[in-house]
Order: sequence, then structure tokens, then C-alpha cells
Amino acid sequence: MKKMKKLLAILLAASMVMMTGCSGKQADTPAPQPEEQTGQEAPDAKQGETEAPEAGNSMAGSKTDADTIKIGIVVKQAGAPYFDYAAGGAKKAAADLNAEIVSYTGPTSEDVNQEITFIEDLITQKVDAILVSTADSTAIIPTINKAMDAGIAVFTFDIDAPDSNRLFCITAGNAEESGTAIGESLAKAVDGAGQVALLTGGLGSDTLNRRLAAIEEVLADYPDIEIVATEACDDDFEKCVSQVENLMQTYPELKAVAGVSTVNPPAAAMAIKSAKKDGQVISLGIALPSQITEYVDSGIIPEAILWDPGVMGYDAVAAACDYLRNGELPTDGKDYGEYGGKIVVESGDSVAYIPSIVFTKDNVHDFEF
Amino acid sequence: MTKPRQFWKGTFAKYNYQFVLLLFLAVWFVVMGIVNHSFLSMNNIATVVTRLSEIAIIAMGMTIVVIAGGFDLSVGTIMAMVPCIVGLAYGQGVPFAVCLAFGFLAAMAVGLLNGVLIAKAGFQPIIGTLATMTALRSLIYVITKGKPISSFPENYMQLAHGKLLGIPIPILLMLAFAVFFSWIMSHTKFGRFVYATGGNIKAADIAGIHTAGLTIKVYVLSAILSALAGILYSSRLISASPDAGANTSFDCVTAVLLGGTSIAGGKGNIQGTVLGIIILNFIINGFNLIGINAYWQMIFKGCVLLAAIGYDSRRKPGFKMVKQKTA
Repeated sequence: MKKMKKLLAILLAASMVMMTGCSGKQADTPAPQPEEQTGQEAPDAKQGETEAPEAGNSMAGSKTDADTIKIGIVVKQAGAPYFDYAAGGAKKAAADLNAEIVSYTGPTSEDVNQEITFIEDLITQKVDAILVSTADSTAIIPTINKAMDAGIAVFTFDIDAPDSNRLFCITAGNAEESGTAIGESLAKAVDGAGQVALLTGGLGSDTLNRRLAAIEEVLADYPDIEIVATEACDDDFEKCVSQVENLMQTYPELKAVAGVSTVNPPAAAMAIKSAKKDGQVISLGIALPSQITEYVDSGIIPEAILWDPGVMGYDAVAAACDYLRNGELPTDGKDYGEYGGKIVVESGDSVAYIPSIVFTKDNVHDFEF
Repeated sequence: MTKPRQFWKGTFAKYNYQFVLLLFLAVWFVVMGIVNHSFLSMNNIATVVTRLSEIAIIAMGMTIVVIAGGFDLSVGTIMAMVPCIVGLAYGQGVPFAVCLAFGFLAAMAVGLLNGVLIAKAGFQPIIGTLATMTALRSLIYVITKGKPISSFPENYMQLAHGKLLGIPIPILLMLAFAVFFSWIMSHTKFGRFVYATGGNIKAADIAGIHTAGLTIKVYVLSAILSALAGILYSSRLISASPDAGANTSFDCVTAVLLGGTSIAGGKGNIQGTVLGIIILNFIINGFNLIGINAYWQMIFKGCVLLAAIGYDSRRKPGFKMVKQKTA
């Protein structure tokens, strides 16, 4: 029995080495929660022109063009192709704008606690700016606020933490807009009737939840469409594949699945293909073109929506540099150059959107990411 | 940790393995202090020690379980479950003290179930707690619908963010528990019975120790400590995440084994585990500060676990590094 335990322990150890999913640390924010900060709150972009930095916001405009701006990037899942592209864009921007990406890191599986650890250690390193894509929009708040208090410019990107003191969010596919687009293409694809299922990355993500809600809102207008299930795979590809396989088993009449996280459509398409249900079930949603090319060509994925994550990374770095050098936060129509493109900021909001792209058979091969 | 003098004396006289660990930690501090100037700042040290206190508290329970010859995979799940229950109940308008009572009772029930599965139904500890871990995690997703819970009293965060005499409360709690459980393990009948049961359960039975009852108690204790860590965790984030603690049991076991506790049971102590946690966290912290990415950190942790187990299995039966049974 002891021998068996030893063996099991060794297996556990081996699995730790192999698995990417073992988080390490208990992160923490020992500092007291920031008091109400005047001028610290997401500065308003209402007038389309950001006001000069206010008192207590000393980091705005604190750098000159000659200063290299040190930026740390923390993503909710390191190694996900999506974030690697974003980091690629960020590095491109860093080269263009005299900034340095001192670290690009994140948990190997979604774990907000580990993200917090990374952010805390970036605070200790005294970087100038932190770009975060959070796994949990609520739990990350004290840590983002702590970084802001420490004089570090925090921008969220991809997934926002709207209730934190973060300066701005650079994201793509306005959750409502992209959700509505997915909902409409879903309704069109099933001809307004039949069983469909929704797939998401993690249920803790505000953006993904809003996207789901937008899909549900569109489908509410189609009484003959039944949403049989909403599955969360925690952005785990294998898990999503098996969830879709189970869905097709449970609901033989299932006509379509729509995913709001980039993992979902290719995983769903793989499940559909291996169940030989091409032509019966389709997969839709937010996806990276490089991961879905073959499925788009074979018709399992009639269309997919995305943006270039590289542009998002580029614009996030550009926004951080702009803020630290000129004290300016993103404004509607702000042009971040040939690669960065023009962003959209809704009136009174502190969220900037980069433009979306719809992929179909005709253009899916044109993109590298 | 026991009284400083005893601790040091003990370290030099008996705990030569732990002395090596301490030496390693010292070397690491010197090296990292030279490589990165922020590493030795009070701020960094306080940050790291605060964030390791939660897992240290869980690992103390795990140490006792492992010494008793068991294993508890469900700690991370209990840590996630308790704040979800507390937050959900509080959101329904239940008085907070009652919510806390609910949370701890639920944790104790899981501990009891673990204990009964292992001591009475005869399941292997890893299998028994794997079952509760899996079922419980799903239960958490059902009751929370997978969403984080953030309905907590306004001053709830003071627990994890507050300070007493300038020291963060989680650190004080961890130290208090470390002293308390070190004492329990070395100076009480319960402690001696735990060592005896883990060392040789048949002999312990023959000697008249009610080993089944003891095993159950040990799992309940582990569950209570996990619940407490869960409360600290949610107080720190002002949010209870159903995903929390997914890797906690691995981290705890790594620290427990690194600290010199034998996976076979019967040997080990609380101080070693706390030392193990401190070493692991400062190594990871150092890695972060010099920009070594997350993958290497995982590989490193796996190697540490392998090395600790390798060392443990190499120890000769007659050579008992940690003679706590007679303490």
C-alpha cells in the first residue's frame, strides 16, 4: 500500500511536469484596498478629447519620447495562439514606439490567482505599464487597483475588468455587437428553427457572458429556435470537443453550435467532423482563421467572426505609451498607424474597440493568425 | 514554528534535512538579492509571505493527513466551496455569522465523508478524496451556476487586507496556526497517535489507538483548515470563484514532501512544510522577477516534487531524520 502511494505520488509528480495546468502560487494583495481616488478613476473620454492628467495621476505624461517604456503583459492563458498573436503585435508596437515588453506571461491554464501573482511581481519590478487580459473580471479588481496605486498604468485588453480602476480597455468585437452578429448568423444558418447549443470559454468572464446574452437576445425573436444547452469549457480545447460530442449524442436533432470564445468553433468542428455529422450540424462563432481554415473550406463552419489579436496587442501598447508620454487616453477614431488601425470608442465609455473581420470561404486564407 | 531557540537547536541537532533547506533558502535570497534589487525589498517579501499564507494553512492540514498515512486531494475544492456557500447565503440575506457557520459545517461534512470513505469503507486515500473532489467541484458549479460570487459584507476584505501591529493578518494567522499545530503534533496525545497511525496502522490498532476515528478526525481537520484558507482567499479577492484552488492539492503536496514529510506516513512535521511553502513561493517569485516564464516554473515544480519523493524513498528505514514519535 505504501509502495502504491509512492507510485501514485511519482505519477502525480510526473503529471505536474507534463501537464501545463499546474498553478503555483497563492497570490495576494496585502495592501489595503485603495480609497476613493480622485482623478484615478478611468479618466473620461466623453468629450472625445481626454483632459490633461489630474492630480494624483502623476503617471500620465510622465515619460518623454526618449524614455523606454517598460511594459508587462499578463494574459489569462499563456501559450494560447490567440494571445501569442496579441503579444506579437505588442512587441511590434514596442519596437515602433521605443517600449520594451519586459514580460509576457500568464497561467498555463486559466487561474486568476496566478494572474494576480504575476501582476504583483510586475508591481515589484516597477514596470511602467501593465496590460491584462483577466480570467475573472471581479477577482482581479483589488490587484489592478493596487498596481494603479503603485503608479503603474494598467490597461485591460481582450477581457475587461470594468469595475476596477484600470485606465482603459482595448478590446475587439464589442461584446453586444459581436454577440448579435453571431446570433443573427446562427438564426440564418438554421433557418429560424431547430435546436442549437451555445459554447463559451469560462463562465466567470464578463465579456463572454455579455456576448452570450446578446446571442440569446437575438434568438429570443425566433420562437422555433431552442437553446438546448450552454457549455463552458474553460478554454480547454479537448474539453470543448467532448462537450460537443456529448451534446450531439444527447440532442440528435441539434443543428448548430455557436461559440463565443476562439477555442469553441474549431473544437466543435472537430467533434462534428469526427462524428461524421458534417452537413447536419454546423459550428459558428468567434474563431481564429488559421485554426478553422479546413472547416471553413469543408463547410462545417460557414462563417466566423474575429479581429486581429495582433492589432489589439499593438493598440494596447500604443495606448499605454500615448498615455505615459502625452497623458492621453484613447479617443474615438484615434489612428494607431498602418498596422494599429483606427479604434472605436463609444461615447462616455472607457473601452476602445478594434474593428472586427468576418471570415468566410472567400477570405479565410488571407489571414496569417 | 516552535520557540526560536528550540527551533534552531532542533534544526542543528536533528533536522539536518531541514537545515539544508534553510541553507538553500539563504543562498537563494543572497543570489536573488544580487540579481534583482527588488527581491529583498520589504514590500516584496511581505507580498510573497502574505500570498503563501493561505496555502500554508491548507498544507498544515495536509501535513497531518500525510503523517497519518493519508492523502487529501479535496483541499482545493473545499477552499473554493466554502466562500461560495458563504457568499451565496449572505446574498440571500442570511446573517454573516450564520453564513460562516454554514460554510464550515459543509467543509466538516466533506472532511467527515473523506474520513469515512477511507477509514470505514476502505478506499485508498487518493481514490476516496479524488471522488469527493470531483463530485464537489461539480456541485460548486451547480450552486453558483459557474459564476463568481461577490456578495460579501463591506468590511469582509479587512480580514485578508488588514494589518495588526504592521503585519498582514494572513501572516499572523499562518504563524499562529504553525505554532499551534507544531505543538499539537509534538506535545499531545493526538499528535503522537497520528504519528503512530501513519507509521504502522496495525501496530497502532493493537496498541489500542482507535485509528478509524483518528483518521476521520484528521480529514475533518484538513477540511476545516481548507475552509479557513478559502475564507482568506475570498476576503483577498472580495469574490468567491468556483474555479479556485484547482491546483492547490498539488502545490500542498509538493511543499509537504519538500519539507521532509514522508509520503509513506509516520514521519514529518509542520515546520518543514512551512519551510517548503516558503522556498517554493520565493523561488517562483524570483523566477517572475527575472522573467522566467510560467512553463519553466511548472517544470521546476515537478522536478522539486520528484526530487523530494526520490529523497524520501531513499531514506533507510533505520535512519529516521525526524524522530517526532518520541518528542
